[in-house]
Amino acid sequence: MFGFGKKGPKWTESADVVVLGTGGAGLVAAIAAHDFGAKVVLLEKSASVGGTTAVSGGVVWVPNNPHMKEVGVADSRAEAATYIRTIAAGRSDEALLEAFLDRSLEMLAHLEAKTPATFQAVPKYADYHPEHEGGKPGARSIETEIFDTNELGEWKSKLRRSPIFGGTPMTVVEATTWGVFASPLTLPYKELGIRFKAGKVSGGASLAGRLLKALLDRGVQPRLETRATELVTDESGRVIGVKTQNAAGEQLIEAKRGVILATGGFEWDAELSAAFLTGIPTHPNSPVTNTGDGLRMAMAQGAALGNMSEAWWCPSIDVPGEQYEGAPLHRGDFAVRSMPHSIIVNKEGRRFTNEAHNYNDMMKPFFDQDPVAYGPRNLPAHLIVDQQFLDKYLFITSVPGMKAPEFVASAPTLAELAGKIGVDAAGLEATVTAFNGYAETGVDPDFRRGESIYDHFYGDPKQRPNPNLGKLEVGPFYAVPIYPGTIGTKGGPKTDVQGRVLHVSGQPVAGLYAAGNVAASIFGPGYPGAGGTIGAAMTWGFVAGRHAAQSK
Amino acid sequence: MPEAIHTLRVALPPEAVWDFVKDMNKWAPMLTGYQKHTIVTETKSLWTLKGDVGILSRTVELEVNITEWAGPDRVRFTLTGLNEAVSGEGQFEIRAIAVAGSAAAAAAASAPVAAKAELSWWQKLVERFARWFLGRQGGGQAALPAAPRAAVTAGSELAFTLMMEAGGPTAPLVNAMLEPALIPATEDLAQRIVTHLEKQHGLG
Repeated sequence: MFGFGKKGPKWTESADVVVLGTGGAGLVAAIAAHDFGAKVVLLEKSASVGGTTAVSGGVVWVPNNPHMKEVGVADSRAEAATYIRTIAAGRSDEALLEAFLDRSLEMLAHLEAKTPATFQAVPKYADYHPEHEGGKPGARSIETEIFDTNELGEWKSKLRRSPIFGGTPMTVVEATTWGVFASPLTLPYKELGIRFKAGKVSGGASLAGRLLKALLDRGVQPRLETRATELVTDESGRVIGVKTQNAAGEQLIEAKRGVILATGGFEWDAELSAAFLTGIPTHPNSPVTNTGDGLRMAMAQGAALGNMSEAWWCPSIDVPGEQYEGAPLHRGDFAVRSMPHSIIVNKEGRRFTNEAHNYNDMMKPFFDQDPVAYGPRNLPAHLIVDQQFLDKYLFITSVPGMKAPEFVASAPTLAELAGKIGVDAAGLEATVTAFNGYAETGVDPDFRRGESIYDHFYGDPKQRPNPNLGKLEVGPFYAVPIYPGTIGTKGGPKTDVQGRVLHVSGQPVAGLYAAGNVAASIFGPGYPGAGGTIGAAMTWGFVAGRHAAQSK
Repeated sequence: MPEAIHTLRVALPPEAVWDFVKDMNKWAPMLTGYQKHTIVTETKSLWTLKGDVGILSRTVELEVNITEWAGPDRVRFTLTGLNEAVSGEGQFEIRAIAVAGSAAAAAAASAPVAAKAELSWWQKLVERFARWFLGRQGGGQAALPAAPRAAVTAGSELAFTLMMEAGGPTAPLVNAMLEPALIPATEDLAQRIVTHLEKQHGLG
């Protein structure tokens, strides 16, 4: 309890619903709470709006969504349920899974009918395990079109921008149509420059910008640089408000109907990461403000926790000196590792994963432990490419025709490169010899790279016989460290089908909700498809906002 | 090529401004994003800057070559990216003017004349005409908000010009991302130099 006088807390301000965080979960929660009748206060710890959603590609995974038909992909509730059960590996709550299938469509319909957040299917963005039962070759992932930030007025500069594609304003549909990965020189750079100068954004910034516009249209303005530090409860343990801190000092904001935690994950908090996660994501791709604030507040209320060892894993590559919002930028790598003429090896020079598979699952072997050596088997890891790669594809900061970035190690032979980066030379040479054989046959018997149509999304269709397999045979050869990262953790307080946080007793904590990466994901260790994070976050944000607004 | 120009006035003679500008060791740390620089020869130096490219901040290594050394009027230089496909050029230009002699007037005179990179070609034309016209009417210093009856002394107009251009096929996009960073970088350097000079000479 906090701040109780004889007549209860001395509130600085009163609202029906207080939402903490402005990522996809928080923004949608605030919209829903408002639209179902609540007076909403929306708080954001950082100086910009959009959270982890804004730095992402902004894709939203909604199975059986109405846009699938527009691009000729059939789906069903039953197929989606089967697929999610497989992906979650037995760790999904059946009631939550069923609720997600229905509520996600309600969320989508509500936004498309009442806000600027409208979507198009991404036809070729396959589910992350499309060959598994119920998986689809595309279109469960949807995205917004380009957004004009001038629509935000004075809030334009407060919208967080996505570093995906370096902030280039192009949709995923455009990027894939233009062949951004396999034919990067064919992009309409003049048009993209015009868009950039005009204040147009895409991806997560477009999605967050549209949701922010919806809130501004409703008269709800996020309060930036205002951090929630503690939940306020009454004698019964019901959450009735929140204590906050900003430049003006400390405030007590009453939440008559509920507080919604949407504060993101805890990947930037070393203590929480060490305590809970399977492996330490030393190079997170998310905003540095994701330090587990909501998790700590939920734990303080006795919340039951779930899925705590898991994160949305994603390998990272660093450009020395590169920063985003004043902190080192760890670039999530989606394409470099997947294109032909590239492999990832450990210090023995051996491959250890399907480099081209989805970032969540391909990264798990980074954390393998050698029981005898008693240390990580596959770290440090290096991404190796040859000159053919540089001649054809984007390589971190270089485009075809440019020399390799100066921070990349290079050598005329594999053995010399191995010596430079501390990798076993004989091991690397043997690995490349074997891999080059796989490139010839088009079959990778070791890790099945290029077998799934998901892998092909980030491949080169001109590469035969397999779009993900190309020989490393033309020097110089290049190497860059590739690190374990994450786009956010996905463990936290368990919730019920209304988004209410559950106490360790199994009962809801009255007045407390959670949505997004702060909460336990329904997908367990799995990642169903592009936008699986945001789709679930927006769904539970919608559910929580609506329920809180309608509660007494 | 993205270009930014910033012009300021200071109540010091050109020689005093030149004395400061000619030694890059004095003003280099005033450059936005400055990390370090190394003087290789009289005309060649290597710079490390942290600059914004769109939403990202990158560390850029640049080779700077002096192409014209015409004190106390002008120094021109070229820029070549060593780790990024960028190139450019720039100059400091110092022009003698008359300004009001009081410290207060001098401070007021250091208000920016124009940030030309923000102007369209039409605005530039109008601005040039207005300055020419008003200059004739006011003895050459039309825009100067000089205090009435203040003594007139020798002063200077310091113009810093910076042009940067990305190379390669992505240039149209990268240039669009570079441009917003050029304007404040140019303004900040000119302002910091003038502020420093005013303080150094007891005008601030």
